[in-house]
Amino acid sequence: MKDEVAVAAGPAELGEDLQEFSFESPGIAGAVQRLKERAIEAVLFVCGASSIVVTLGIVGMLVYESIPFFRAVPIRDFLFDTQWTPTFANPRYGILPLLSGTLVTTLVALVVAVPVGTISAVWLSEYAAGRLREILKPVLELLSAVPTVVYGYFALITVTPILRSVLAVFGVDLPGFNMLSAGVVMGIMIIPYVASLSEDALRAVPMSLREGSFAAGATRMQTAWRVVVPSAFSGITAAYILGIARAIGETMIVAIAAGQQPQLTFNPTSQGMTITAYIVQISKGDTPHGSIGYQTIFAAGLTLMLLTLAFNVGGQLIRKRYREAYA
Amino acid sequence: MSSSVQNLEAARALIRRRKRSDRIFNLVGAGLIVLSLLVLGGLIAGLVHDGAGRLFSTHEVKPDGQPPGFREVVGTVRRAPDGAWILQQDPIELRVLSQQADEVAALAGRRVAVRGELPRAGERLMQADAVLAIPESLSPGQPIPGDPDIVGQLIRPGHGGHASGAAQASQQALSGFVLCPDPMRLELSDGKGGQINLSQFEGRRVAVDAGRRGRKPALALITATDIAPLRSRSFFASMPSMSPSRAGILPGVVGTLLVMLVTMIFAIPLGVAAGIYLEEYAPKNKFTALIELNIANLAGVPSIIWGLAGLALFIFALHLERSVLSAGLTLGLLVLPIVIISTREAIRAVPNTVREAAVALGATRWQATRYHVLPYSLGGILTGSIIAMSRAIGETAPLVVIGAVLFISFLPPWPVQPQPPFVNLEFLNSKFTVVPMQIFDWVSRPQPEFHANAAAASLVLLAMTLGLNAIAIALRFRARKSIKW
Repeated sequence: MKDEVAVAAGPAELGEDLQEFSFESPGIAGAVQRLKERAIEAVLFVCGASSIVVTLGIVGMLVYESIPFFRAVPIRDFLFDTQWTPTFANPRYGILPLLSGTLVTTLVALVVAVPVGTISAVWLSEYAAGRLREILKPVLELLSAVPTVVYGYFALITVTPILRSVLAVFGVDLPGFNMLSAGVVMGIMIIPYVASLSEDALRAVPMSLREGSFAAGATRMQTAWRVVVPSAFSGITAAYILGIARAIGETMIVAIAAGQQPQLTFNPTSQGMTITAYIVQISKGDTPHGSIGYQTIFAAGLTLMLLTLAFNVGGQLIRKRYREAYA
Repeated sequence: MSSSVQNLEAARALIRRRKRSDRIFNLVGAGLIVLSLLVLGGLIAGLVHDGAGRLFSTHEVKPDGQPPGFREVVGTVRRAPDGAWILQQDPIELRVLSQQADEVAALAGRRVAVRGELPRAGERLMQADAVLAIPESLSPGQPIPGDPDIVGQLIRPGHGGHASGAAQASQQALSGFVLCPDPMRLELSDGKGGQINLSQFEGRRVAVDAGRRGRKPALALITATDIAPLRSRSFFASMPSMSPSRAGILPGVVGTLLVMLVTMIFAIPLGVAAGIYLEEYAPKNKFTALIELNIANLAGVPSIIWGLAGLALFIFALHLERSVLSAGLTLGLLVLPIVIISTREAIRAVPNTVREAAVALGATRWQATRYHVLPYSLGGILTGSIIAMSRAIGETAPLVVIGAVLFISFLPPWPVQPQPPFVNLEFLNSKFTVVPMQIFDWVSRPQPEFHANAAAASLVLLAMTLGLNAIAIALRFRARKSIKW
């Protein structure tokens, strides 16, 4: 960029020397041109900086709207009470049941997405021929292009009955709404996310490492798992972490398929409610605006935002680091 | 000597094992990818199975757009050989209790009198309380004993040919009876009857208002107080309804289009400008690094948080109401990072030599960007914008929070009008719903008929998002082929 500035300045300096050769004075036109350039740059700068304003706006609004809630509810109750019943006559405001719902669905999603995503990434990067990979990758990414509300339908109408009949064999009674099928479908949704980011990391590993491994007599599989995957470990971890952030924030699948009962449980075959599903429930209902019941969605939203932010920043930092490792 | 042979054998066995596990892993990897794609295929196949029928089914409405009312009788107007007008009602699927099934089966092929609750207009299923044979000796026109609700010919589908396709498709083992109601003579009541010429309705389907006598007119004769032709209306052209077979996605589709219009106008120019600034203008300093980190994180903010932010900002703070405008702006904010990131990638792909050549010829920085960098990166920017729009179309959570209406009986005003000034901005303030919201509403209801609607609407939504994605993939593919640096 610095070099370009120098080059860009060149013609302007030449301009004075060339002045006597030109038919009309470039003075005014040049000034107008410079002004125009400055104006354009200013407009573009405002657009570029708008993202900062947006972020500050989101955080500011969430904090501002949840202040009344935290005035009424001590933060200790919010964090450690084990009941979440804001719309009951005797309200309790413990976020733990919602956190447990979020945790369980996210874990189920990871159990699906991490093995499938990682193996798919290794296969795509180390086994698939170039052309096949070029075709398969975008097709696989279509899995994440399916709207989440459609996945919600899939979880409730298709996956739940299947899991139910499978689990019935083992004597487990799966309710119509459960965190298991919501989590499984969520896992399917984030497979391409995990696979795509992991594959980027795997491909960033220099060829020479693979060649060294092959020269020592290793098979493709040994090279993949003992050389390439460990070398790309931080990138793959970043993929998992960003996948977790996606799963934590996923809303419609759990709102449709996981049920509407906040309860502190770690059993995936039971009903449960996540932070996101709770926000949907209150937004859909007729809780009056301004009541503390309504303000809970901002408190819940703030919690969710902080959670995902932590995972996102962590994932980005790890990703940055691995990028520089082989540069 | 023998030990080295043994070692060689052992080494060969080891190599074989390693190669075998390599092959197995190859199969596992390919299998998992195929499995993922099969899941996608299964999802689509399931939706087609549940929803395709609903997608192309129609229901009937009167000229004013209303369905036939409770008192009305629906059928086809025909002319009897003797010149009288008759109304032929549609075949009805009869459900009988299983213990009566044999008794009723014995009556197949005969005229019967049926007691039970008559189906609502537009529906074909009737639970029969009693099915009685009509004595052959009864001459036509004589009152039928037993005070029946409907009279007609009883058919077992598969034995008689009269059953309509719809009735046959939905018949089940125990309800396998179809009643072809007797044609009824159609007369118009004295009040205004004389003026209406029934021949204009000949062969057409109509809803006949049988007046105070209601839906069970004196069985052989309808004295109509009003008659209205029916036309069929598709799933796409219908409003939401409490009756699943009449509900449609028209307001959802219109709402989606309008919200997307706002999103596009807001997010694409802003995002592309921000991308240009960051790639072509931004100095390498702390502030730029902050913007970059910030955008990367914004892309990971859960969509429902955008909904909360939009609610607080546009609705509580700026008082924009729960309108198309608030929704469009909220989704615009949501996809802004996607547009910025893809614009940057597209611009970064243009080699520096292009900029240097332009600048060497005396172009200013903007001229180099505008006339040299942007044309080459336009394909990539377009692709990114399309992907962003496909993401926005499928978003549900933020719109639930913003407060899209679930049950809407009107359409927002159209943004383009034939009279000057040709643009009508009233739609911005209108309440709205979108296709994903309708799916969410339908799938949340317990009745399976609504689930079929949800599947049909999901197919429409999938067609939109996957269609946009397919366009984007094709564009990217073409751009890669045509430009080789």
